[in-house]
Amino acid sequence: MDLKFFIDTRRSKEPDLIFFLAILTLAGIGIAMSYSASAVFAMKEFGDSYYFLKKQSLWFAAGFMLMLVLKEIDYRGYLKLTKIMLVFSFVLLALVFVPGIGHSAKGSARWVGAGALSLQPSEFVKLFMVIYLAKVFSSDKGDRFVQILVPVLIVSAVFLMIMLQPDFGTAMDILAVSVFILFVSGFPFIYIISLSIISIPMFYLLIYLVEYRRERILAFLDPWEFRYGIGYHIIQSFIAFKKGGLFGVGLGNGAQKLSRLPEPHTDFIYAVIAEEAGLAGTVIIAFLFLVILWRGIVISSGAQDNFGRLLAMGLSLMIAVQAFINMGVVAGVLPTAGIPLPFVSYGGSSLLSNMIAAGILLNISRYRGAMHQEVNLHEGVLE
Amino acid sequence: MQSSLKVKLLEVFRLRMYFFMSVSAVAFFLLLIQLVNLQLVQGREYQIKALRNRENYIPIPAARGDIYDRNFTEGEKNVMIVSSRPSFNITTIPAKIKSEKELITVIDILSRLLKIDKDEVLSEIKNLNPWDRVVLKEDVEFDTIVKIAAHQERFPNIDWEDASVRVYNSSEMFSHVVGYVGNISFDEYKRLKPEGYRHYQKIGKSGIEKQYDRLLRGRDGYVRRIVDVHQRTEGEEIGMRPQAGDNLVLTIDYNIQNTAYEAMKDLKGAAIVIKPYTGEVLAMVSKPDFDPNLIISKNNISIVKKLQTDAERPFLNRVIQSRYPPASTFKLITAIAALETERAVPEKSYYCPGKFTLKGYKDHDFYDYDAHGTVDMYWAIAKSCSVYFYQLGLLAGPSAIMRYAEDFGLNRRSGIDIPGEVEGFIPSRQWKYKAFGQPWFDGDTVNMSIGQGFVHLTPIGMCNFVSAIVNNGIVYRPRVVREIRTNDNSRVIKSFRRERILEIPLNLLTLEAVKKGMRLSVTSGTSGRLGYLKVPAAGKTGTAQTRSIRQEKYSQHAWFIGYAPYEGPPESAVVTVILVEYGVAGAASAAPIAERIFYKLNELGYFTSAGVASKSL
Repeated sequence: MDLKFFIDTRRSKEPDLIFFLAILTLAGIGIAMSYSASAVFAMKEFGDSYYFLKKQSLWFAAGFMLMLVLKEIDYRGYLKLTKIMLVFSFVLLALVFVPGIGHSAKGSARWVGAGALSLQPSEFVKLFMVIYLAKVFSSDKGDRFVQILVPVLIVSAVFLMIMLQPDFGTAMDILAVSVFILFVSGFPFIYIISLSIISIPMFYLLIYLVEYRRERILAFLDPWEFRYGIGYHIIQSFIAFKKGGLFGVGLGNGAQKLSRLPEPHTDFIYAVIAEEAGLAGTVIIAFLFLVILWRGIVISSGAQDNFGRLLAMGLSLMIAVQAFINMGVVAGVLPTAGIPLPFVSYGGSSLLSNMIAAGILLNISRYRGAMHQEVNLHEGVLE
Repeated sequence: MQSSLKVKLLEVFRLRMYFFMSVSAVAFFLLLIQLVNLQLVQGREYQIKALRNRENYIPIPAARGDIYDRNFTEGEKNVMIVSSRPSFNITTIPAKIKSEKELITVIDILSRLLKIDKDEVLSEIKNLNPWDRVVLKEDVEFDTIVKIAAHQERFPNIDWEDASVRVYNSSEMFSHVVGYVGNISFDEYKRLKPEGYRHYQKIGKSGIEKQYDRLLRGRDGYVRRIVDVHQRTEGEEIGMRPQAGDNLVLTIDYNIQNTAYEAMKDLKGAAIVIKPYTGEVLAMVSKPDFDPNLIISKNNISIVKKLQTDAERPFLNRVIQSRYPPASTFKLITAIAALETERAVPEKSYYCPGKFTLKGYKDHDFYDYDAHGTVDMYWAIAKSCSVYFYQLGLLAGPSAIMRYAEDFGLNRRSGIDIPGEVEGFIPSRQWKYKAFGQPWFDGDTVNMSIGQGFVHLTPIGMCNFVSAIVNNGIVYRPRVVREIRTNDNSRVIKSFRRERILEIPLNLLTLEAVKKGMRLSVTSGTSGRLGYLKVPAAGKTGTAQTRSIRQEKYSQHAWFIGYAPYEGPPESAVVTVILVEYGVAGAASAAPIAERIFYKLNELGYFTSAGVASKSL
């Protein structure tokens, strides 16, 4: 693949239009699908089939405004805020466990606040971690060992705190994104490999000592064996895929969302899309996330400095990795982990944090030029 | 320095980016393959697999409704004609058994333990969908269940389940009234599947069991058992609780039925006792009979087959399913036809020399069994003088006789609530011409006027005829079920009201004349056996010549039709019709049975005003 594909040759200060459109398309599909998936449930629970549609539209409006604002704010300003962000992250993660402020649902404490304003801190912590890591790894000052040790400790702490909620999916998501940023930042492989080796026993403990996680892995390996217990959801998801076929049964006509699929409007929305819009729908969604990753790489390549480069890469990875985990779980290529599909799933925190990420990415895309200099360097012309 | 590091970083970044892009491309490509695989390729198998292995439905049989006699009183210990008792069935689902070899081995061991025919079971299994539940043996003793349960490893996938066995407490006595249940046949299953019938269920095959099957059967419940691929139980829950069937209270009085049954014990024929004022059947006996208890099990199919091919036809309910020449009992219709058409008056006498000669192209003699001398209509009925009725029939003419027979509904079904009723046969001129290519002769009229020749009637039809006489021309639909109750008897769901089926405009004087003749028959005629009863009865005997090819002791059928009390309130009247196949004569064979029935009715207080009040609706 020609590297030119990843180079924005425009010189203007316009934000990346393709990226912007991809985000809007996904969010639009998300609103439509989370309505289709939740209408019956909403009618039953709240007496209003538009309940989730209304809420999601409000969240989208808020997120969209935030994105437009952040598009105008120079990303380099975040460099000074990372310490506050870290502190804020740990406070938020701790608040989840404080009775009265944090509250839990379905056996895990993931939320703070109450009612319409309850937030899922881990979504924002993820964002803060990406900004923090981009800053740390883009700096060329100081000792390499120290430069990697501190972030490793911080990421581990965040990882453990989220695991305590417990929210295995988001924890793994943060870990994966962190490793990817480390990888892209140019650290020697030896560091990455040693870190992986060190973490293997920890994973063994985390997964194999907790029975339900072990079962999840087993259910992932053979869902049919566990289809009345832990594998039930994934089998229902498979059935949704099958029912969908090539073009789906039509929007709103799906049957799997009616009490068979767990969280049809959040974590399993991809299965609802599979049933109602078929292979065409699922491929389009996957393709849109690929577009986001692609534009993320383009923005990253064009960024003026290392921080912008890593930040753009990290934020687009944050979206893409989460999307891949979600789609992978629903399609049965990854073990069950309850994380939403970015922009598409119902959920304010997720939509908001992803919109913020998109806003920052759009801002970075307005400062192009570095890659050209780099290309020129190769041609022997100094800046 | 600054820029060289920058260059180096960029260089690394670019390499890593290439690597990273390849990884994510592979990851998304894998996802894409899985999507295509799920949605287009593998899906069908998943769906089939999901349907097959997900759940097993194990039926919980509903208790079938009990049947009581008319003396049922709420809150007391009542006579149960039919009840049910819990039992066990041994079943299997052949598809669960791993191999055919294992199936044969298991069936082989079981067939010896349960004493069932191994080949029969194996051929039945072959004909069924392998996922269908097969009942190997019904009503298995508890000891046997214990044996199988204790050695389950020897009987893989052999289940036992609750079942309920119908108990016919009076064995043969009610066999034709209540009928019996049996395994649902393929045709019945096909027809009744939409109503929720299942292939493993029992269904009423005849009598009340068939007529009221939908009420009696209730609704089976089921246990939903969630199983894994190896059919191991993972969880179980009651999907639906069974709903017990409704109970029935009959109009039949156990004591009268018993009396009639005992009186008919060694005979062949039919007996019916009815209250004409309401249409309630008090007793209904058909002989020969069968014991329903012996044939309800699917393992006794050979007994059913034997009964079905028996020349005596024990399954036939002779009261409603058999036609006989009515013989002298038909003389009453001839009399009514002649009186109603005003071709005769009862007081006019004829001389009976014991023979009647029909004048014509060629004279033909018709004989009487005796020379009765000069008789008027009353004495002609009482002594059953055929010569009198030969002439009366010719006077009335065949059309009038046929019309009145039809008016009494003798060629129609009465609509009794027992299935399989047939209608009687009354000839017509057109029929005769069609069947024989001959016109209707006077000889045919002469024959018909004494109930011989072409006319063939059912006992239930004759019963309705007598009811019409007693009720001044009104006939109520005969029925055997009095009320429908909930399974715990706490509530009456439906109480039947009498239903008028015939209203024949008849001159009261005509009826008086016929009744008087019937009374005279009891006091000093052929029904003399009933003359000693405390209750004044009225009746008519009949002896039909039959053209049976088979060698029987007597080649004639004996009839008695009658009622009691002779003159009393219509509410208290009870009609009895007796038919004895190949009996000696109406007077000798049938009348004594009626006598015993009337005696018992009187003893039970049916004719007293108190008895009427308590025993009527």
